[in-house]
Amino acid sequence: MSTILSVEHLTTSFGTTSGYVPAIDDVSFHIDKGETLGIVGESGCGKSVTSLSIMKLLTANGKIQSGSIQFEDRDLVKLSEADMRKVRGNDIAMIFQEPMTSLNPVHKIGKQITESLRIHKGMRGPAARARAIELLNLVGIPRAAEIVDEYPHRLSGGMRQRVMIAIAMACDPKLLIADEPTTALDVTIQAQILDLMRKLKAERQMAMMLITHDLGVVAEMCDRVVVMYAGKVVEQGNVRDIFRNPTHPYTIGLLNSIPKLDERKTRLDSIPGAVPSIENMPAGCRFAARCEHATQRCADADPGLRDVSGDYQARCVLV
Amino acid sequence: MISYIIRRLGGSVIVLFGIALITFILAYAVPSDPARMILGQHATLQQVDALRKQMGLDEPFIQQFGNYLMNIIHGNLGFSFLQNLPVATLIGQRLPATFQLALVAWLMELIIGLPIGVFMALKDRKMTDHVFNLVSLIGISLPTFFVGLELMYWVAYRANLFPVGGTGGLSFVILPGLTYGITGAAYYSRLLKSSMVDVLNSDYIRTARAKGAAPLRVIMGHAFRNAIIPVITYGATDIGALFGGIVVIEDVFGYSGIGQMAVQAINNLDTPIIMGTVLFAAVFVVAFNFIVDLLYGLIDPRITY
Ligand SMILES: Nc1ncnc2c1ncn2[C@@H]1O[C@H](COP(=O)(O)OP(=O)(O)OP(=O)(O)O)[C@@H](O)[C@H]1O
Ligand code: SF4
Ligand SMILES: [Mg+2]
Repeated sequence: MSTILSVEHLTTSFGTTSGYVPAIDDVSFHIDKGETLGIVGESGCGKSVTSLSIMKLLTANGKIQSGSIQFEDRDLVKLSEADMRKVRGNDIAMIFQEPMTSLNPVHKIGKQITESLRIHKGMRGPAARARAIELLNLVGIPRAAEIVDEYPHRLSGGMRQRVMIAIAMACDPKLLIADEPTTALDVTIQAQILDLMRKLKAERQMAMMLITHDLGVVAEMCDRVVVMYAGKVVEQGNVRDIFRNPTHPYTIGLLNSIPKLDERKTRLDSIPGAVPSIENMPAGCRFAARCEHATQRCADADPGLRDVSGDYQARCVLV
Repeated sequence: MISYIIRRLGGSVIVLFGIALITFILAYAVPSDPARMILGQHATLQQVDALRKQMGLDEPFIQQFGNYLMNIIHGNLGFSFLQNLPVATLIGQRLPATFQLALVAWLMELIIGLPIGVFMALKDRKMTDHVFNLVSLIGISLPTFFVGLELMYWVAYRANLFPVGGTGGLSFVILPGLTYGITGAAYYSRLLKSSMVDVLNSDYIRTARAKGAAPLRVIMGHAFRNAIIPVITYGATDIGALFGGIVVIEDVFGYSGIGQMAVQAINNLDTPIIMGTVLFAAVFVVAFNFIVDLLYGLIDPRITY
């Protein structure tokens, strides 16, 4: 299968009082055509920074310091802002975690959906409106012909996220980046939105990068998974391999914190401790402070990504 | 909606009543004798006393205030002590000139202030921002009479582009309007800038950029309408106050507006005119705030009444 996106040695830093500090460090992964790649990790480990780097939508204090982001035949890192705008919303679309605030409160739904059609395809007027209604139907919004003239505040969070998906689908993107698209929604709505995304992905042979901190979502949705910890990729591979036989102690910790139907656990085994802040990264293995297998060797030097098998790597001395 | 309008109108009446009360108390407390002022130094004590009685000045405070309110309700703002004309008539005479200047001054503020505000928001945290901050601070702090005199000297006197002063058509309004624009614009640019910076950091702006929207589209199409809301509130109060006359500038340019009349009345202790012009200005401030509250619904669909 051919690769659509290939991120190589990507380092993105933010300006702080102590200079530029990397939030993601030497991150590499790839996404094949039509594939769903999951990116998991706890809060603050660099998932959003990775996705915003790909879109080149970092805030003014952030910058890509090194590495490349190969999308089809282009390196997005080298692309000018004007050329990058032709990619955003057209070839690569993105949906965000916060459906309640991600839509412009003063624009009608229809206008927000047709905006990328106007920008990239020059479509406007009745044709654009018809397409907006079609997209609303596609994402399962009832009374689409009326909703198209509504303002966002009239819709629930789940409905707004469907609108966000409709916006993302407008130009038939080749890659959809979804940054925790269901985290802010309640469980039943979560399941509906994930179903919708899976259906759309299958129908359109679109590749998807699904960011989540929920390994349950990964198991359900993804082909391969990248586990991130403190700005680094710590494990990546086939979802089935990693779920059956996780290697990195961090991944094992994450897996143990998923509630299982056949176990009547009252408490989840969440990993004790917290992700180190980007200004205070330890020199060796970044997980050492929280790892029960940690030895002096781990603290001395970063173990580097090691091959577990074919397309499966982990960053741990135990490999 | 209807009940909102009624509630809002009720509130406005209460505010105006409060202003009438305060101006009346202040006028009452001023140690001057209107009857003596009207009759002059040569009138006898008996004459003065007779006039005091006739004017109701010997009645208790409450009764005097009641009479004042009744008169206001009937559109009677009292008589000028010195010009012996109804205050309402005097204000009416100066109304067209005042409105003309107010509108031009307000537009000048917007034309200067809003683009600078947008520009400052875009350059946030950069060098130019500091420069603009400084310039706008100077704009806010510059005394209007100073700006007015400079413009008068350079633009009217030296370059001879506009009349130096006086009242007439549009050409007489430009310089005083510009003076107000220069000194007042900084409020608008600062207000718009800070609200714009907030809006530009919001999630829906990121969504717009993720669609591939160019900066101009992001700013004008997405950010401006959200950011302008607090500016509109200020703008309404501003133009309301302007319709009540621009005190210093009218004086500097010898412009016969309500502001100039108010200054002259203060110098002459012509209390009815002072009270009349204050109340007149208050009516406009209250009215424009009322109108703008109704307009919010058009700008922000989340607002329902
Ligand atoms: N604009 C920014 N300025 C400075 N530091 C930032 C900025 N954005 C992110 N960071 C830092 O980069 C690190 C990674 O943040 P990121 O938002 O990618 O985490 P995440 O994995 O998406 O977490 P979450 O699950 O909470 O969304 C964090 O330590 C954060 O403090
Ligand atoms: S390298 Fe050492 S500290 Fe890091 S995860 Fe592996 S065993 Fe734990
Ligand atoms: Mg995030």
